[in-house]
Order: sequence, then structure tokens, then C-alpha cells
Amino acid sequence: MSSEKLNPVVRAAQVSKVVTGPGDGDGAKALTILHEVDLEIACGEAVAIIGPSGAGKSTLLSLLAGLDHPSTGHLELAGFSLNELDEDGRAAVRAGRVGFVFQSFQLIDGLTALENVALPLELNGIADAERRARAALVAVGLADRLAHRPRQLSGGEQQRVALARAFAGTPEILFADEPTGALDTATGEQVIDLLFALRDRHATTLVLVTHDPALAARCDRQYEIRAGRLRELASDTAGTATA
Amino acid sequence: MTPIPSPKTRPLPASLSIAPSIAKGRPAIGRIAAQGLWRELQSGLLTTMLAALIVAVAAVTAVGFFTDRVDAGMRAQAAEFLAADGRIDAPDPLNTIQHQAETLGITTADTLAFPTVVLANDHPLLISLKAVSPGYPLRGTLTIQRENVPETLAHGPAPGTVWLAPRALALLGLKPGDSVQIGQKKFRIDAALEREPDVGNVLAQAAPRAMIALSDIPATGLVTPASRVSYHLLLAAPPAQRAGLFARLKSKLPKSLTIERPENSQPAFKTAFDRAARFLGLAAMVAVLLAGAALLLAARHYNEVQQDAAALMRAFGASRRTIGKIYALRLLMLALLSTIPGVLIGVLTQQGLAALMHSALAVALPPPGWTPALIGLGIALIALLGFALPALVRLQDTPPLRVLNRQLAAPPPAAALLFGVGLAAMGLLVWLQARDATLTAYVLGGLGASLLIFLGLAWGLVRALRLFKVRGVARFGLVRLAREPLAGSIQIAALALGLTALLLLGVVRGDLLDAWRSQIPTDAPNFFAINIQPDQVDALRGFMNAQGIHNAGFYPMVRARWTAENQKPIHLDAYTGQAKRMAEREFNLSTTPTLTADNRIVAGHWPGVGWSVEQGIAKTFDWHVGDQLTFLVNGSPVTAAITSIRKVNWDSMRPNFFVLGPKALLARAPAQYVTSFYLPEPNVPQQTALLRAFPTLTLFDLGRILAEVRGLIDRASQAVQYVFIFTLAAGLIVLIAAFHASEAARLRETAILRVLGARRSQIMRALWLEFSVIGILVGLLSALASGALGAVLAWKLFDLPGRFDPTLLGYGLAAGLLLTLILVPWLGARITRASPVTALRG
Ligand SMILES: Nc1ncnc2c1ncn2[C@@H]1O[C@H](COP(=O)(O)OP(=O)(O)O)[C@@H](O)[C@H]1O
Ligand SMILES: [Mg+2]
Repeated sequence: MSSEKLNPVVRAAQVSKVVTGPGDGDGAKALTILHEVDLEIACGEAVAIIGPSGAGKSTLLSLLAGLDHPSTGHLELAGFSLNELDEDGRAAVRAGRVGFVFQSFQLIDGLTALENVALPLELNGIADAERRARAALVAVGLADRLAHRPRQLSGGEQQRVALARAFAGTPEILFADEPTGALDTATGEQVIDLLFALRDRHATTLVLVTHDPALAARCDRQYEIRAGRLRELASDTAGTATA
Repeated sequence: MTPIPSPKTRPLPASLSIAPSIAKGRPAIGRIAAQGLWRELQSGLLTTMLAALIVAVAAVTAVGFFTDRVDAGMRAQAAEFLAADGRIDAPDPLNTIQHQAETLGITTADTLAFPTVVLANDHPLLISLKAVSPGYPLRGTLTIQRENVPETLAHGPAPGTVWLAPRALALLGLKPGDSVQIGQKKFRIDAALEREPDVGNVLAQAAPRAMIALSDIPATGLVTPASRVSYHLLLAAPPAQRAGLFARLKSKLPKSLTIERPENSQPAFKTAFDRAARFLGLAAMVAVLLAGAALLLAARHYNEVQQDAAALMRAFGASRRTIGKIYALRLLMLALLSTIPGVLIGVLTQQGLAALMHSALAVALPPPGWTPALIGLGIALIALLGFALPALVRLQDTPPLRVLNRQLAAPPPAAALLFGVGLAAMGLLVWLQARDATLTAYVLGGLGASLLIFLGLAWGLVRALRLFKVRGVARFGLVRLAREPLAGSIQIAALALGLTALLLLGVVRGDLLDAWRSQIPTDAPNFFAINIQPDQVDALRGFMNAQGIHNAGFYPMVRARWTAENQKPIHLDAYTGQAKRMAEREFNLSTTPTLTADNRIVAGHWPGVGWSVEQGIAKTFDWHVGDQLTFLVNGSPVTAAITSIRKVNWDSMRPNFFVLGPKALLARAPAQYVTSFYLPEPNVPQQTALLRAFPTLTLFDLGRILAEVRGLIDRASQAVQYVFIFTLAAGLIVLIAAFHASEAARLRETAILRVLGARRSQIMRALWLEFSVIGILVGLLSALASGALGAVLAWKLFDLPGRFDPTLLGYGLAAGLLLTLILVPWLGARITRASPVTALRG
């Protein structure tokens, strides 16, 4: 267990998430979806979080990325303590440092591929947003799709636009939540190859949520989450899982 | 492998849980439709549609019930103007016919009238004597006054007594209790006769009225076979048998006699009611069309939201037909569900409107019938079929594979279908409501044109926005508009439509109602004077000026009989009903060098060398410019061509004529002059002075009719204001629907933006920019549309020149920006509250 990281960019200490379960009034029950999670990810590392559906993977990812706030415990992202920040403060931490790739792509329908990629750059007031967006799209092989809208693209192409969007801002950390979940196997593999190629080029820290052991095996380290409890898998265990 | 998402990983729409029941045997379509309907109503998804439908149904039924009742009330009131349901007029006694009528089961009463003289202290006064039988009046009431207390009675004077018009009392210097001599009999004056129902044609009643009992007539010795008496037989029958009984009586009448029915007794009232009905109808119609727009928007939104449910039902094996049936059935249920509260609100509203009109109507309104409720249901169905169904038909084409890949969606409904069916439905609705082809064409054309202009302008502007080089999220706000010109323009058009309704309500309505009220200005002439000899004109003018009376000019008038058209003698038998009555009567011809403001030339030229005829009579007799008309004037025929056709505003209460001829044509005829003027109340001393100075002159007091018509217009315009509240409600629902429609997309986009690091302030800035542009655009568009609509209404309803009120632009812009000021914080609070986590949950 490698708990002594020199330079952690993502840190969770005793993080729990409790939500009010379904049912109203007195029938509402507190439901713990994450139990005292401890996690540290060093700069440049690629970490996989695996687990069955409903285990709490997405919940953990959203906490690590500062999209949500924990019920208890401490969170740090890129050296900022997230606990003291409100949603706007957390957005400011994310801006320019964090990239995302989602299972359902999450592109904006009204915008072209180019505009989608340029959007986060423009949000951060980067002057040559459009040029950099163009370059990012060329890098994912969509040079001829700049003016297309998401609806005019296949699922694989949409996920490549999402990758371009994530990497165009050269983020320190990339969070990916089941990026192949909505794609067929072959397309999924292409997207993953692209993701890892880009990560290698930019030396980006990667937090990858998946339920695919083969994909998880491509990461430096693996965690497994079951019923809201996180544990790290030994490297050799992970190795056998792929075999 | 792609896993099938379980309800655990993605919260599914409520209606999905019923999907498995499709798989067993016959699909339980009714149950699925009903359950879905109930859940979606609870969750608020269908609430906009329901609200829109309720408003549409309520508006239509309220107006329907109300105009139905007023129509029936009008007929009752018209009967009152005749004092009967029907009347036969003849120059000879009608005893045989009266007997026949009574054998048929018709209730009768009879009256006779003739001009004669009353003597009081040897002072004679020309009066119009009317003798009435017991039973008179069969419909309506009389008002008399004994000691300054008005009394309403349903019978005539007792034998031996006389009721005299206040004018006669004033001229004779008498009061109730005094005596007068009529013929050979002395009568005690019992009361002043303030009001009798069947005054008939005011112009025919030249002298003030004296009313006695019919049984006193022989004692007066005034009626001999040679005297000029008009006999009237009044008829009444229950509504159900009326038409049949009258038809049977009619078949027994000699050819020269007809039964006069009360339809057209009071044109001034009829006009006012027609206008009110049209105005109410239009208000309801605009409400329905706005509701239609709201339905269209809501249904598009509903279509998007329902795709998951449709996909899952298909995945579970439901056929396209089954899905189509489920949604069609759900719409049907929605129609029924909206009809009940809609009709209820409609009934309550019409009750309120009826109460409001109560004081302006002399008769109680009959209870409402059931037709408007059915029309309400019809409207709900048409609106749903026309505006909602087209947006939903493609739901059945949702690919079942969508359950695996949400990117797959049903093909969007064809724009042609949406707009084509919508337009057809609109046409049907407008026609149902207006039952007036021209008005339908105007309203539809106007709405279609403004919608096209809205879309065109919005689209052009939205495109132009792309040229702006705005950075950052601010740019996103504009790009959002520019990126989806159709969706953006539809939203702008919908907002503009809603705001147009508001401006119509707030600004244009006031202008229109003022215009309507000012049709009868406060100093509208309330007296008519006829029988003015040519040599009296100057003296009379001088007298009036000295009294401070403003007259509307003196017009020469000659009596003439129409004898030939295009050199062919006319046959009275060729005409029926009103046309026949008009053709038989003598025409009042006049001549004038200049037309008053009441006249507008609609065909031909003015001035011309021939006749200028009024539009309505030209239509009745099928006269056209160029036709040769011959009138017998003072025994000699005058033939000339029609050189112009005029539209006349009869409401003005000024003297106007069906037929005008140039001076030269009428020079040979002995003309008398007519004038009208305004005398502020109380005016009995001035009347007396005038009649003393000009004893041959005949004066008509129109004060009561004027007051009644004014009261009616006041009440009716209030009623219109209340009905406009439905229009307002529908406009607001359109606004809400427009937001609902875009809210889901906005929520999702905001979540993405926040994930990407956008701050609240950045999102708000984009929202402000987007909605400032929308606000300005919508403000301008709605100002133009409401102005244009107001001008069309003024022109079509009031024959006023349509003019554009430039302050509307100011109001429009202010309203548009106010909309922005209200909507942005509201919308901002809603969408920024959403956590960015939602982006992770697809
Ligand atoms: N806002 C919430 N309210 C209630 N339960 C939630 C909420 N968010 C997630 N959950 C529940 O928490 C558990 C973990 O969800 P999630 O993190 O999405 O799982 P995974 O991504 O591993 O499939 C699931 O049982 C889910 O239903
Ligand atoms: Mg997940």
C-alpha cells in the first residue's frame, strides 16, 4: 500500500457521503453511499477505480473532482482544500486544471465540435481558444468535423470531441467516468487508446472509473469500491485479473 | 459489452415502471395511458398543457354561454319593443284575424292609433292617440309617473282615464288629476306616460302620445270608417310553438298582411350587441390561439421527455400502434379532464358577465343552454389534435435501441406536419368562434403574417448575432440563441405572442374600448326635429344659436316612392321581409353638397350627378353603381344613375339618408328640413320654448334610447375586459411553456458548464446577455403585432381608421426588458441551483 505520496494532487481523508434515501417525511432514511474513504493520487499517476454498478464510483469521482461536497472527511484537489470552498470556489479550482470525460459525452447540442472544445478555454479567458481547440480536434483525428454538431457525430466521434475538450486546456488531472460505457467494444478501445496516448503526451494525472478490468489494468494502480468501501488492489492481483 | 442500464444507475421516468404490463396478452392501453397521465400531472409535466386547455375551454364556453343568453335576451327585448312576439298592422280592424288567432291558441291584444287633438281649457294640442285593449302589452312593461314616482305596469290606463306624455303635459301646462277633452269624451289625467314598449318607429310618432283604454274609443266618436286609423293586432305564443302557430296564422292572412317579427326593432342595440359579441368572440379566440401555441410548445417538450418511456415500452415489445394509441388516449383523457373545470369556470364567468349586464338589459337573461359546453369539449379536442398530437406522433417511432444508447431519438416531428395541422386547427377554431369568413381570414392572415414576421425577424437577428465577436461564456449566451435559429426563434415568437396578448390587454384594449364608447359622444344629438319649412330654417338657426343649442346642420328632405330600376317598374311581390317593407315605404331623399363624417364612399365617386345610396340598402336591393333608379317625387318621376355607394355610421344619431341626390335633381320637389341637436338634461323648458316659437315643428326625444345604448356599451365593454383576462392567462401560459420547453436543456448545459469550471457569475452574465437581446426583440415584435392587431380590430369592428400608436413601442420595450428583469433572476436561480453532479448521471 503506497500511502506516502510526495506530491498528491488528489487527496481524500476519511471521506463519507450520506444521502437521504427515497421516501418522504418520517420514512426518509439516511443512506451511506461512501464509507470513510482514504485515497491519495500523485501527480502524473494513472489510477483506476473499479466496482460493480451502484457501488459508488461516480459518487467518489464527483467528490474528488469537487463537483459535490462530502458529508464528512477532508478533500484536496491540486493543492486546494475543497472543504472550505463553495461551489463557485470549487469551480475556480477546476477551471483550467481539471478535464472530464463522461460516459454520455456531455457535449452541448447547440454548439459545433469546435465551439464545444473551445468553450472551457473561453471560460478561462484564454485568448487563442479557437486555435487551440482546432489543434486539439486535429489531435483526436477530427480535423474534418470541426463544424459538425454533436447530433451529427457518431458516439465514438462525440467521445473524441469530449477528449479534445478535456485535453485542449492541458489539464493537470483528467477525470473519466466510464468513458467507454456508451460505446461498442471496438470503438471503446480506439477511444481508450487515444485517451492514454494523450495522457502520455501531456503527462496528465488520470482518475479513471470503469467496471472493465482490462481497461483498469492499463493504469498504474487500481482501487476497488464495493458498497461504498474503497480498497486498493495489489499490483499483482490486478495483473492476474487481466490475465 | 454495453450494459443495459438498470433503474439503479439511472433514475428512470415514472411511467417506465408500467412497461412490463405490456408484455402480457393484450396491452392494457387504457390503464397505462391513465396511470401515466396521473403521474405526469402530479409531477407537473402535463400541467402546462392542462392549464392551457382549461383556459381555452373556459374562455370559449364563457363567451359562448354568455352570447347565447344575450342573443335570447335580445330577442326577448326586441319582443318588448313590439310589446308582443308578433304584430299585424292594417288600416282596417282586424277582428276576424284576431278570432282566427285565438282559435289557434295564440294570445292576442289589440291597439289602434291615430293623430288627433286634445283640448285643455280650450287650448288644443296635436297628439298621437293610442287606445289599448286589456292584455296590452303582451311583452314588456309601461312606465308611468304619478307624483314623481315612476311605476312599472303591465297594463294600459283604466277606462275614463288618460296617460299623457310629459311633453304634452308640459305644453298644456297640466298635471295628473286635471282633465282633458278628447273628441266627445272628457278624460281624467291619471299619470304621465314615461315609457311604452312599442314606440315603434320614432319618426312615425310625430306628436306626443296620449293613451286611453280601447273601450273608451266609441265614446270619443273619433273613429269613423273615413278616419286614418292604424290597427295593430298583437300576438304572443310560447317559444316552442311560436314559429308553427305564426306560420299557420300567416297562411290564413290576406296577401296584403304580414306578421311583423321583433328581430330588427332596435338597430342601435343590435349594433352594440353585435360588436360586443364580436369583441368577446375575438378575445376568446385570441385566448384559444395562445393556448394552442402553449400546447405546441408543451407538447414538443413532452415529446422529448417521453422518449425514454416510449423506447422502453418498445423494447418490452409494444408495437408502434400500441404506443401511438397510448399517447392518443392520454391526450383524449387530458381533453376530458380539462373540459370539466374549463366548462365550470366558463359557467361561473358567464354568470358574472350576465350579472354585470343585468342593469343594461331591460329583460332577464334566459338560462344558458348546453351547446357551449359541447363546443368547449370540441375546442379542447381540436386544440389537442391540432397542436399537441402532431408533436407526439413520432413518439411511436422511438427506436427501442434508445434504451441502450440515449443518443438515439425518434425523428423530430416534421415541421410541415406541425405547422400544417396547427394552422388547419387554428382555422377551424377561429371559424367556430367567429362564424364569419372575412373575420376568420383577417385574423388568420394577420396571425400567420405576424408569426412569419416574428420568425423571420427573430431568425435574421439570431443569425446576425453570430457575427458578433463576444468572448467567454457571454458568447455562449448569444451563441445559444444563434446556434439553434429555429428553436430560438420559436421561443422568441412564443414570448412575443404572449407579450402581444399583454399589450393588447394593457394598451390596445383601452384604445379600442374608448373608440367604441366615443362612437356616441356625450354631446351626441338627443333631439330630432322634422317638418321644418324652408323659410323657417334661418329663424330656427338663429333661435337655436341664441339658446346655445348646437345643431348638426339642416338637411332638406323630400318624400319619394321608388318606382323603377333600370327603367323596369319594380314589383313589391319580388321582395320579402325587410326588403319588402322598405320598398313599400316612402323613402326620405335628401341632398347635400358635402358629406358629413358619418359617411364614407365605398364605391363610385362623390360628388356625382346621380344618386348616392347607402351600402346596406344597396345590398338589400342589389343596387350597384351605374344602375338607373326612378323615384316618384311629388308626382313626377326622377330618374338617374347610382354614382356612389356610402357606408353610414348610423350610431352617430345625426340625420343620415339612405338615398342622396344632387341638388338639381330635387329642386322641383317641396322640401322640408330636418335637423338634430344636443340639449343637455333637464331640457323640458327649452323644448317648450322651442315648440311655442315653432308650433309646426315636430320634435323627437332620443334621450332614453341614447342613454340605454350608452349603458349597454359601457357594460359590454366591461364584460369584454373580463374576458380579456382569459387572453392574459393564456399569454402567461405561453410564456411558462416557452420556459419549460427550454429548461431541461438549460439545466443540462449549465451542469456541463459548471463541470468545466464556469462560475455562477459567468453563467448569469451569459443569461443576462441572452435575455436582454430576447427582451428587446420580443418587446419590439409584440409592440408591432399588438399595434397591427389593434388597427385591424379598429378597422373591422369600428370602421375607424386604424392607426399605430407609437407609444406602444415604448410599452413593448419596457415590457420586454421587464420580462428580462423578472425572468433572468428566476431562471438563474433555478438553473444554477442544479448541482454539476447531474452531468455525471447522464
Ligand atoms: N443523490 C442521490 N440520492 C440518493 N441515492 C443516490 C444519490 N446519488 C447516488 N445514489 C446512490 O448511491 C449509489 C452509488 O451511485 P453511483 O455512485 O452512481 O454508482 P456507480 O457509479 O458506481 O454505478 C447508488 O445506489 C445510487 O442509487
Ligand atoms: Mg456511475
